[in-house]
Amino acid sequence: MKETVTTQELGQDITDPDSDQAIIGRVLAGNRDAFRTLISRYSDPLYRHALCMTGSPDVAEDILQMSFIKAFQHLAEVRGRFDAWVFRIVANGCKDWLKNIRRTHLSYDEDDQPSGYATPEEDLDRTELKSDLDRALAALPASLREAFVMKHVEGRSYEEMADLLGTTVGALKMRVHRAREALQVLLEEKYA
Amino acid sequence: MLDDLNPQGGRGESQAPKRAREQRQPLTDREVPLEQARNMAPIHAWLDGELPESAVRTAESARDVDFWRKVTEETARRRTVKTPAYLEAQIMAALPTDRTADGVQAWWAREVTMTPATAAVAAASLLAVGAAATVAVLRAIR
Repeated sequence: MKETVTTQELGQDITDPDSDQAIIGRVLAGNRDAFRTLISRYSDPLYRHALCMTGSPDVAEDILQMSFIKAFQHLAEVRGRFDAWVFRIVANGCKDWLKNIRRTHLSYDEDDQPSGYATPEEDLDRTELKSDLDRALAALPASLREAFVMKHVEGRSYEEMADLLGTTVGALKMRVHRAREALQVLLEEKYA
Repeated sequence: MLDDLNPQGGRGESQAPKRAREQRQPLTDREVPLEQARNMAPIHAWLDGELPESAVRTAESARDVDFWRKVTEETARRRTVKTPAYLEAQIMAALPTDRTADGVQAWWAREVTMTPATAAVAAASLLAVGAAATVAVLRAIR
């Protein structure tokens, strides 16, 4: 018998109409449009994860779309935190893609993102580092890349990472350290 | 076998020439001594928020610290990347109209939640099947 975690145990107020659990309840009751709130609430960190893992905005969008569709279809099976559950769907989607599909392009364009750099030279340096970092990240094994992205791009704590990935803080520290050492070897000739 | 066929050193050679010989060998033919490897522990501690930058920055580590400052600036900038505006509407449009249509599982794959009622029904069913099987076997024997 599967353990059911109550919303009180998750620290969510069951009476809060904006809680994930309340929204899930509305979707399950037939209010399809309520799912939009869950998408807008969690899409940014999930998109960033998929983008950094795959290096491709198109693939990241596809993975995010497939993950939310899967989440919608299996919403009744959510046990515990929705954000952790949907993160695992996206993370597994990224790993499956890395396993099965050959990457065709590794850099992503952010022409719509404003540049915060003072001079064209700084902007050029930043663009170069961005693409070099993308290439170096792509050279890492998926588990190291995932740990590095979660720690440095998503800014998560080791405890949060351990909770999301179902592993220990020690193992994740080791992965992040190994990823940093590998990245330093790959990039230091040019930047250090 | 006591003979050492290596022309660069056989038995009885002192430790000092042996070390000199090891240093002459190409790097790929010997293990890299640990003391030559960069000690990244302070850098990790700084990047993990356990030490301030001032505690880590030394003459030797300044290049590493500067390198990681550049990388963390770049990764922090990535933290501001947003989902494309059209994606939310695209996902909503792609959701199946019947939420359970594709998500419904076969009866044998579904999760069973054991309540007192379902336990009683399961026990009664097992008893009935067992009794029917016993009766069938006894009739077949006669």
